[in-house]
Amino acid sequence: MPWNDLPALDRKLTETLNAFDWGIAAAIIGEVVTQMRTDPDPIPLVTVNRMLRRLRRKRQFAPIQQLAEEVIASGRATGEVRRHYAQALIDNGRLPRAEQELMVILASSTSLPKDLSEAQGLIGRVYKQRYVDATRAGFSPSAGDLQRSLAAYWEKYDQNPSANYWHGINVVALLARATRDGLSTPDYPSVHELAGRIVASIEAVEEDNELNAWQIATAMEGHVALQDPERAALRALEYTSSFDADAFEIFSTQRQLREVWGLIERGDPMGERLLPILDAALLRRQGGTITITAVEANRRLEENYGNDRFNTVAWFQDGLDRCRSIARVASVGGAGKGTGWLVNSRDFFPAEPERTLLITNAHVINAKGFRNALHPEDAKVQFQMSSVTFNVRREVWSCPDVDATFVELNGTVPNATPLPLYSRKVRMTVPPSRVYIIGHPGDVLMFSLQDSQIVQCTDQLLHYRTPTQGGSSGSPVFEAMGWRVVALHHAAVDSVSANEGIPIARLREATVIST
Amino acid sequence: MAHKNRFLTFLGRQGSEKLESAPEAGELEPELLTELSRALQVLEAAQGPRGVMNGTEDETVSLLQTFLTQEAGDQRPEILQPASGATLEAKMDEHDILGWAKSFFTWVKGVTKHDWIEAPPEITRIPNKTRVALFGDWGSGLYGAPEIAKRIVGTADRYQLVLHLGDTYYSGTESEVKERLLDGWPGVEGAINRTLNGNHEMYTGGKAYYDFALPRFGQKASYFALENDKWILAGLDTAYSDHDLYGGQAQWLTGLASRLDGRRLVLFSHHQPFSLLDSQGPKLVKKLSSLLSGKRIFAWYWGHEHHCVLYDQHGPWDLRGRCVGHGGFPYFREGRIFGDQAPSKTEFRRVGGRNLVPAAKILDGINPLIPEAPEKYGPHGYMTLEFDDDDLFETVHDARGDVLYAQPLTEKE
Repeated sequence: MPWNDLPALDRKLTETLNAFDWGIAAAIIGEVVTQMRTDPDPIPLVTVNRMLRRLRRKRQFAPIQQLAEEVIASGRATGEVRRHYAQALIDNGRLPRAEQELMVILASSTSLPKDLSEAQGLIGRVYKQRYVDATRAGFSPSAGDLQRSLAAYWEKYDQNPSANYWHGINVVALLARATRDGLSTPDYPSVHELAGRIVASIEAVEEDNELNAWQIATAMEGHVALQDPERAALRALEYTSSFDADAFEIFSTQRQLREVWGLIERGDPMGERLLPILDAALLRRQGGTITITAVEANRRLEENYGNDRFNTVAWFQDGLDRCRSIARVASVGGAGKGTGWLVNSRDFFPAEPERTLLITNAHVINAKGFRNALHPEDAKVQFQMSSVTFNVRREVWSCPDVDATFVELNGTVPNATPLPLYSRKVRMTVPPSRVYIIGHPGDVLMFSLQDSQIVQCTDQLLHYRTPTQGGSSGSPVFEAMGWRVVALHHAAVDSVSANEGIPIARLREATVIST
Repeated sequence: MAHKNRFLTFLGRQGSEKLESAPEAGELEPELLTELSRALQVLEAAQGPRGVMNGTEDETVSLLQTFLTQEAGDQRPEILQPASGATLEAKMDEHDILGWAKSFFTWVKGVTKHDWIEAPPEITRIPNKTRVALFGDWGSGLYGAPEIAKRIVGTADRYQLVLHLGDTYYSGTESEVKERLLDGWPGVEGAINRTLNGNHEMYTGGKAYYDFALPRFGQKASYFALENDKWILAGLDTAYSDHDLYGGQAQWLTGLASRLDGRRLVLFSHHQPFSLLDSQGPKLVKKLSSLLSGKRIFAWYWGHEHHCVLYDQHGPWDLRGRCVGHGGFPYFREGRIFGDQAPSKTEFRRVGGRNLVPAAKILDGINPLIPEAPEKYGPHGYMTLEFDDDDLFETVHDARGDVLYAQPLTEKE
């Protein structure tokens, strides 16, 4: 494999990492390392550095270590290769070895200013990690580790506060941690003052430039220090939506919040807001999935995706709740005839006293026997969700022209309310709107949710592709957004290969005029 | 031949060193030569297929395009050659342009800014049922622009408001404003007409915009408000100070918002508050931060970016954002997002959000009105907004009026 195949291998590594296939990514690095040992030509370092950066963004520290060790062994290590190596060692818990590597960078006359700055920050990270690891393991942490970490971060921050903001925010986090742990830090500014300074400097940058992921994360941590969960959460959402925040960046932030700031998911207003956002984002970037509560799922769907691609749990619940108000209309002998649903009489007969009525098609119940409809006295109305059955007390209004009949029942359905109506004119949309039907095509109450687009609408009729059967006659046709009834279903129409309903506005017009 | 049909094709440059060593270069001051060299690099980068109008958001480049096609074309008509679609193309290389450079910079030095005009306090009344024809970046006089005008005028259900979101190419000179904006304007009987200020108008100080466009429409200022019982529509000038709100506009808008009294506020501007495809609008957002974070702005329509983008509702601001900047200037398809292969029919494609910019549907397809290279350019089109008491219904049309999207924006009763 000559090195001129390296660009292809490099591309393959990127694709593999983006597909979260860690095994193949490690195999690619293994292939590169093998080639390095056999090829007389040295591998181009620019490609090595790029591969290391990409592996780091996905937190693949084992292949980083493998590749970096090979380059170091070949005597061609640059400051950047050693930095990535030290980073991998830290994340693999090999802190003393990482510190040695960082000292090599700091002592080298060939190290670039960026390498020196980053290495100094990573020294701070080594001691910070030592401090939090001791706490986590149940040992007494060394105040000396915390002080050394603070000193390393502060030195870089103090040299150039506007550029080295991430060193500065680490100082803030460590000062807050020191305060919580009862350690004195008299040589540094207060947490509040320093955090305010850093947030202000980032906001000043933001006035003219788009922030990068690290700047957004720093601002978020600043709001944590300033105890402002709302602003911190907004920054967290912004950060996790950022193109340049990958697994490495988000994991680092998440670790900082948990390990140094001590945030927790429950009983902590800050942790409750921030950690779920970061957890979900990290899993997305690592190719994982997440299990969350229904309430949380609902909130996140609304926040992240809007309502045109997903239906929320609450939406399904609303649909289920509507079922309580929908009944099977059958003959006294039990044969199914159609569907009916509860309405508020005021919605159709505004001049009459308010009461709950049942509406169905005139060809389902009609005292004059329109199209073999059941006579009101021969109809049974079964509310399956409540397990109650009623007789029809009287027909209130029936009109074959709009194929609708309103009846009074001889009882009240427990926990059922009249269905809400969609009173506006229904318009054709592009793409077409969906409508849903709940009814009794057979003996059992069923949802019709598939292939359910409106295909045509006028003031008089609504045509839709929602599948129905005979027993659906008289069913409510719901709009998709909020389960409001847009029409009374009444027939299938072969000429347009669709089902047909009477729009609510037309029904209202008919009832109001006739009464 | 009218000016509106003229465009510049840059035949390429040969590097700044050669430009500087050319004999004509000696007539130019060094900083002007550097600026010209930079502008030519930008122009070269923006150059698309031959025979198609192209442009950038660069002031010097836009002025250069105006000067070479109009001023130079008037002085030496032989540089204009007939091209397809009854257009005249000025084909020039860097040496041709260098020959005009001195008089170009002299012309540019003479450009001054029109005085700012504050809007009068009264608000124009519109009916509770109002249909708005909305289009942006339409002042090219070519491609989709005349088609759109035809459809707006020919629609049986008449519009009550015709609104342009700004930009007359290349630089909003008097002849460009007259010919590319006003002559082709879709004049609908009885309709109110409004046109917003764009950065291209401001490249010549906004003079023709203020002196010719506004008087033609009876528009008192570059920003304005319209109202009915359910809505306030506010047009902003985000170009007088580039991508910013000049003068007392922020306070004026805050005053309007205080008079909402249950009504909804809709904004129209040339520049964007946020974008998935272009730069953000931090100055606009900062000046309107209290209205945005207070969720006082229901919807915001803008142009500037030559795309049609329907954003998801902005969570923290509760704002519906739309970019309608595909009215007539040729723009390249977003191959970096959607790939080089254009879809077989014009369609909206979904793109995820980032930072605080919501996810969006972006219009993708070819542009049959640019026959030289239809597959390279995105489709032109416009929107209809129907304000019907509490409701607002949006329709996106292609340049020939066909409906690509039609949905209510106000869903909840």
